[in-house]
Amino acid sequence: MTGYRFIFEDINHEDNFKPVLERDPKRVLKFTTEQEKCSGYALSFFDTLEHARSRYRALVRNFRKIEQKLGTHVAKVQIDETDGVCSETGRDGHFAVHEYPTTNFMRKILEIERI
Amino acid sequence: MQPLKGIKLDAFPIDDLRKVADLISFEGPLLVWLETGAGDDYLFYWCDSDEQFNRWLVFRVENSKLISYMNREIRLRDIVIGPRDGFMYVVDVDSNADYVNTFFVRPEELPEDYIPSVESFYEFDPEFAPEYQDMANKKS
Repeated sequence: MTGYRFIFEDINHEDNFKPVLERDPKRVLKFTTEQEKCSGYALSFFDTLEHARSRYRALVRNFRKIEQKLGTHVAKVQIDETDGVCSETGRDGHFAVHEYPTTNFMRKILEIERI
Repeated sequence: MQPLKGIKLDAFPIDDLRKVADLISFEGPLLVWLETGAGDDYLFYWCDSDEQFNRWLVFRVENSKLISYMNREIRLRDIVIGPRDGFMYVVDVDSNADYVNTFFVRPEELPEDYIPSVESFYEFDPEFAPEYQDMANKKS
């Protein structure tokens, strides 16, 4: 299967495939629950380019500086069963991948384009 | 991080907040609805970040405004520029979730980039905290 993920223009940007709770600074608050912390170690993808674009535009309408968190591009990525555990896909096309330690999605990018 | 015109405070003054729901999140919270022990509603709105901190606007909001917002009758922009008390706190939160810098700011002093766009109607699904799940059931 393939998935679409927001990335920075620099394909080698260290945050491109880093879960939110591994980035510095972590976007956590004192009231973050253990369950949320667990989901913070997953990577977000969308099932289609249109779903990815739709969510990105919605976020930009609400958070003018979200580009600095998410990047400005979207990558089409090959995702195989051996890469990790995928959640179910929501009605908005979003799904999460808890990647295995050996997975390197940077090498599995098929296409990149500006959102 | 953009410079602020507000007054720097010694500490963040609210300490009894409980999460009601993440109203908007993407790989972590971006807009969080909280409640004090006295029943006041507050919003934490993510607005900026740098290598050290995430910056949040924190302000009291009328419950009726929150409901109107979730029903797409008013915009997030309207809520941010019209906090219940006429002011807000701007807090820089580090990776340990500690409030390192706190500022007292009036909405008219906010950088334009910190204010949602004119098209900021609610188009997300809230994630209610377990103890507020009955509110989620009412909504659905």
